[in-house]
Amino acid sequence: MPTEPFEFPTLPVEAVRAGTTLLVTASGRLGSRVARELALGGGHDDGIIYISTNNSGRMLAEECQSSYPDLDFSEFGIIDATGRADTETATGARVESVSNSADLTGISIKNSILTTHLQKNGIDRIRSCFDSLSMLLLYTNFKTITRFVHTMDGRIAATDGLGLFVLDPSMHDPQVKYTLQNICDGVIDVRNEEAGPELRVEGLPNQSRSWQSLDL
Amino acid sequence: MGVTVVLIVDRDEQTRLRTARFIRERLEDVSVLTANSLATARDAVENQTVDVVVTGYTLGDGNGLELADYVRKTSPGTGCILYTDSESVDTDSFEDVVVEFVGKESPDAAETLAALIEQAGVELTQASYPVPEAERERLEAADQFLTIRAEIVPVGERLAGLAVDHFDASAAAVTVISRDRQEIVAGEGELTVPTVREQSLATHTIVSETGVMAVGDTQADPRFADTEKIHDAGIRSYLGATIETRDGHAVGTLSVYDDEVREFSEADRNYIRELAGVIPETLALRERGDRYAH
Repeated sequence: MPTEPFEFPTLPVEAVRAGTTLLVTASGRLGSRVARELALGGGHDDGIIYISTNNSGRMLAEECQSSYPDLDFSEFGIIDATGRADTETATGARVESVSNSADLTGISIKNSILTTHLQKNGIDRIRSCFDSLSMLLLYTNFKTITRFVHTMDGRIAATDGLGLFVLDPSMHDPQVKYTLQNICDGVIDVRNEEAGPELRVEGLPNQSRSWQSLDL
Repeated sequence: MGVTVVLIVDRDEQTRLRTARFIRERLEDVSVLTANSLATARDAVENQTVDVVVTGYTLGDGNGLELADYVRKTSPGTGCILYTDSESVDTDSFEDVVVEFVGKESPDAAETLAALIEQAGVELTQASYPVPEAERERLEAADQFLTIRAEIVPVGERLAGLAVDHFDASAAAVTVISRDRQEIVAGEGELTVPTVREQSLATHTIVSETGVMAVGDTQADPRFADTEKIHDAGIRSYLGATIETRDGHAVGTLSVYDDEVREFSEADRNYIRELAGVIPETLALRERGDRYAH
């Protein structure tokens, strides 16, 4: 199994060991932008599975093609969890869909199917981005979300992957973030300041705990 | 470390036996059971503690998601892995079951299955509630704690009584959190406290950073708002503190329940923490007394 750490050369985040899960928290769309950079940025060779609750599969693939022109779409899998089943794309990304955002069993199964697809393409390191838990929480109860994050965390640990879970804490009771960060290995908090966005990493070794500015 | 019990369910005998043999050879400290149908698998889960269920999708008298749904309801701490060559799994009626999935056709399918069994069995990674670090060791400590239940009851009842009086609450209890259950060791008051772990408030208390958890309104807290057992029992507010072993494992709680929304102060939190600390102190004193007596 691969054990090389995952690196993020475009962000002020030190490399993390394989099998790590991170809760990425920010208000509004900022969390999605940072999580997307953690998953797609830096020109790495890892496979990517992106679970999208906001943009349809086609829209996400096209956005990523525009923002990351060097991205190899044969290494990119998308789960369209919007319920729109908008999966046709000329980018080359493989897009799966579930019938609605409450189908967490379906998302879990499609995630495994995309993992197999990427493995058959010779990829054995995968960055999974769940964007976002806040949207999933609108459609299902907190116990089910907790089970879902636990299950995905277990898979990522067992397969030496990287997991990114996006949460907008301003949409939820503080206990939601507290419980989910208890399951994940670390937290990346992101905020918007006058000078621009900043992030800090908590819960992981070898990381600066102070706020650091970032370019997006 | 205890033995991980794995149930392999597949209607095809060859597949069932091959998977069981691989798991026995690949993993240490496992006990492997087999079943060939939904009905026999249900019986197995009902009759003993199973840590992980590995099931095919089509079972003849039902399917793997029906089994997972049953397992979630009867044994919430058990991990479920769908191990099948079919990608056409109908999740429509099972959206909130959430299972792991391993396609038999995937590269390294058997190795992935083994790694997931280790994760799900050892760390309870499919739970619908937060799980403390080193959960296996904590569960062993909780089992140990329950073996001296008779000695804890008198002091537990006294503490529960003191807590009810002090907080003018509806009920209080000394509880132990085992794999799937909240065991009520001693109590005072009228409320019927949930005995299933995933429905209990205390399972969240044992992962709190401070060792104390206060819930002013269970209906407004997202962790408990959907838990009918809590509301049916009339539990509207809660204050609990962990009972820790010498090794630092939070085996249970001293919990206070009330039927009204209320606020808890810092002094309230300190008081419940002090009361909960009496149990390990009493056990330590008893242990020292035993040493001197011999």
